[in-house]
Amino acid sequence: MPEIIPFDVAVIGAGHAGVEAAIASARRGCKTALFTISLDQIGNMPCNPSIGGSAKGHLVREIDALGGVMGEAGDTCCIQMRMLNLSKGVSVHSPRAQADRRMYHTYIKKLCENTPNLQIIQTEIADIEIDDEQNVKSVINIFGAKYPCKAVVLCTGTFLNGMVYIGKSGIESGPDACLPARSLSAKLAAHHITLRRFKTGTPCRVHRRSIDYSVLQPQYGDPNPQPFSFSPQARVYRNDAVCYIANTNEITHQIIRDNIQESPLYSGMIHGVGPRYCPSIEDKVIRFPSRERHQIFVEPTGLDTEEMYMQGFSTSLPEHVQIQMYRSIKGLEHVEIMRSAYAIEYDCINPLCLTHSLAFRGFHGLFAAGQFNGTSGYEEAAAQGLIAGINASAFVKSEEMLELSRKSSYIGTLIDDLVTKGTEDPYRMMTARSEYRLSLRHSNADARLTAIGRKYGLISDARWADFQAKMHRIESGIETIKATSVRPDAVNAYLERVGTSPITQSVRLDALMRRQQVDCSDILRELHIDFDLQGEEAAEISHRIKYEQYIARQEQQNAHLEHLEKVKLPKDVDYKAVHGLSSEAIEKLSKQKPENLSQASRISGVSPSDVSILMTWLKAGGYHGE
Amino acid sequence: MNTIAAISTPNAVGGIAMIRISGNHAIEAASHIFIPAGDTKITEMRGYTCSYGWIEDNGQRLDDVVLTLFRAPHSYTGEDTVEITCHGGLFLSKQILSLLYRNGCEPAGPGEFTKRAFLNGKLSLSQAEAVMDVIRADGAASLRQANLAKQGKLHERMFSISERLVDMMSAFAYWLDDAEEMPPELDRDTLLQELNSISSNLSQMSADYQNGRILRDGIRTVLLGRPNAGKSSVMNWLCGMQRSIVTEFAGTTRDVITEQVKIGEFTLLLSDTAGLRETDNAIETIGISQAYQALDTADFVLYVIDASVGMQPDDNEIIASCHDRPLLVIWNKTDLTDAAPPQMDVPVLTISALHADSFAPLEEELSKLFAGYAFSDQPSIMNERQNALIQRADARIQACCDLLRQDAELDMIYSDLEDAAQALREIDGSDVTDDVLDGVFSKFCVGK
Repeated sequence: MPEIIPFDVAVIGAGHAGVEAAIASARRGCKTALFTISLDQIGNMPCNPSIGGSAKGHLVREIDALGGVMGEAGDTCCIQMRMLNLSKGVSVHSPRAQADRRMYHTYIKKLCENTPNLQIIQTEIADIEIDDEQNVKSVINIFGAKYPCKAVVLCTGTFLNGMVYIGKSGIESGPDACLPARSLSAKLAAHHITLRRFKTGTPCRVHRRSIDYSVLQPQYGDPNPQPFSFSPQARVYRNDAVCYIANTNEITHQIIRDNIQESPLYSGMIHGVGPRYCPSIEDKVIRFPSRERHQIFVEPTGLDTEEMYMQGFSTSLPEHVQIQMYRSIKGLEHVEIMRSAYAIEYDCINPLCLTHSLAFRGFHGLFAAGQFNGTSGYEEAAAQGLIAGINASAFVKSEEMLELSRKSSYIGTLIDDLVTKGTEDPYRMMTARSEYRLSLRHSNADARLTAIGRKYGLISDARWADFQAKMHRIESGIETIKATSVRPDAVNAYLERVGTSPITQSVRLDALMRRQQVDCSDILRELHIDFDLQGEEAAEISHRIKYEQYIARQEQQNAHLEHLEKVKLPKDVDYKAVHGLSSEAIEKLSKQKPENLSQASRISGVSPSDVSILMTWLKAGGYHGE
Repeated sequence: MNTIAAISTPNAVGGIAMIRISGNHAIEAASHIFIPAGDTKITEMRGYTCSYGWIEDNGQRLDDVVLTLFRAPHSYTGEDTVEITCHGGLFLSKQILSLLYRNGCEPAGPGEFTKRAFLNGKLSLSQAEAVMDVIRADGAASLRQANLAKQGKLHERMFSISERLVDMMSAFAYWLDDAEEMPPELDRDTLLQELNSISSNLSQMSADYQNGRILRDGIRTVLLGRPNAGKSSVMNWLCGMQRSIVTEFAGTTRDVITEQVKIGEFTLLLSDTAGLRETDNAIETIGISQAYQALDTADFVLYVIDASVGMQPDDNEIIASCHDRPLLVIWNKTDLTDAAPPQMDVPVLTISALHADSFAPLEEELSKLFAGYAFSDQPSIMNERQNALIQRADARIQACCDLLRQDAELDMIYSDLEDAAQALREIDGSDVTDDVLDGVFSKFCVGK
């Protein structure tokens, strides 16, 4: 078979995972190819045209801190920016952008086109050539052309054997009427990679003019929008789009109940497992019969289009039912559907077959990221893509793999969950998944991760210098605050004004700042203390001080995990020889080969008593391997 | 694991003795020393069956025995297990044991059979702890408690409490991650009410533990009284021997002496203390401060009064200061005087410790005083480890309540809830995060 041009890294799929992987790899100096079925769909948002949201906003800022592209892309293509969860604790504050879908695609495509070392190629990859030593050799397209490469990152999203359902009709299709990838699944199976079916869905797009906005509740962007990117040049470009909230009602629910047999999900046509966290409207109505209404967000998909997205209203009921349902809603009585809602079913892997570097166990140079790994969401995909791209290039360059800890980031938590616990439905990031929630704020993602991005060559000199200056300002600010003692007469008037008890003797400033009622900026102003601070820095100092003791407590609570993390499990342990392990634990441990007891403890089927047995066994010197 | 053997009956002469062998080679080792009366070799016996025969050492018949065989995993330890019941001579059972050692068995460490049962997944940690308590239990009530825990009742009670916490955390997780509107479960008053109720459940468990401890370990009893009231004579009466130095000089007993005494169903852990009085003597001062310390941790006070001296103002004062715990006045030295005790609102036992020969009146008073403690059928926690975890959970929940009252951010509260739930799950052990997420998905309508 004739070979075309050789590459270091081949990335299959140019969605949000593939793009991050390819750009990271190329920026790290690897000759990289990014393959896509359609160049017109690079960085496409086939579902909601939005970036960020609860926990996902954290992921975007972490991606940015590591040197990925989603943050700046989101800022640039934003048409409305909001900080979610402001009424809740600061650790769950999370930025969310409504984006212009076509602009986002154009921005990403241009970025790829202008990235040195990166070639974007429109073709469908049908096979991966792997030699007898399990080394990746090349990728081959459906016409038989061969692209030699040293590493491959699979980012096939929802394309593998994609089936789109509306009502009981299913057709072979990728998302947004793209061609599906029909050949690769069988070849992966031939390499003994086990695939399974997941499904997801998307709601209708309707015409802007067919909605009566006067009866809907408007939602505006924040007055001082917070960009995703930590770059000092970062800004939110546009923020004037308006979103609206509508509500379903009893009539809507009755229409759904009357027609439930028409749903491919309920009639048993779709076998794939759908996301628990992003259920279709029929799921919500059937599972929660007592709810009188469900919220729907009506959001523009861009500035140059009349299409409006109906967030919260995904369905796979037939079109005649969809129009009835939509038109039963106040404000949508005359709605015109432009694209119907559909469900899509696709092949993906069980991520337990991956390591923490997102490499397939048992192969050399084969990586995977995104929905193909069993997740849902652009941000989850991009986060994995970035790590897989860094590691594919690290593999080519024989450098150390990047494996983020749970403590460092939501990205680390996401990957650890995937490869140790696995997932039974499309995995969505949530702050509840992290035992380090209090210390993983969106606003300190740079402090947590920039140095790692720098180590892997993704942070420019200028950005690195800016980052170090910022950290210096924050740390010296905190130092000054802790060294400052406040006299009662200087502060009591303020304290009483905000409704907290006055002090009787001098008190350290940080102790005062810890009080719930005290706002850090206000009290500094009151005391005429002026720091040289920029942007988010004053808020960051405030959070660090206010949460200090809670984070200390969180550390204490997690100490046992870190202790277990220090107990290493050799790769060649014969778990069958460890007396007393349950047979399920033996099977799971032998397969997943956890690196330490902490990972082992998170594997489903490994019970606390299995962990005690392993601990006892290791301590008793049961291991006699290398 | 290696094969272990031990004499499982007490190290004393009795009617019969039992030797237990557990491990991969248990059956093989037994087959070398046991000759069955019938045709079936023990290597061919099925689990849960017995065989009659005798133990032979170099062709010499040592004893007629009954051998019971358990096959893995259907045994207490989860391993192949053989139990040999022989006649109860100490020499005899030890001879059989050493015969087993010669045939490849190793001596079992303390609690090793139970440890293996835990390691082999036959018992949960709290069940394993309960077994150790059954072994240690003396007295019927104590045994009943231990059995309740062993049957997993403790696990159930704990689980029903931690389940409520997990429900609450699911509501939090749902709200923090997803919802625009706060679910009604998180209304501050509702939360406080639920948290208080959980907290009082936990406090109750901890209190039950104190009761349980009284049942299991005995009643921590302190002997108090003015100098020379006869505390040491009372101590000696209870211990039935010359334990404390009895002299006629006030201030003889200077250190706290601890004894364990069985009175009917109750066990008293006795501290004899220096007489309580103001003193300049340095050694005596130390003794007195120890007495106050003993009082701090005591469950029960025996207050001794010299009937021949009568009730003094000091006595009233000290008795009043002990009002928060059960107290029994011993009106002592009735051989020296006919004076009747004064009217008091605490029970009084009238004796002469020097001449008393029966515990019956004391036992009767104890039954009255500890009636509330003795017969709780609720499973209670069994040891300090579990109690510490319960108290940690309770403290965290209290902290949540305080934070709620101060209008703290809800993410701060969540981390305390998480730790409380974690502490409860640690008693048996399971993954809280997974439970919370399952709760979110099954109880709330998620997704915008």
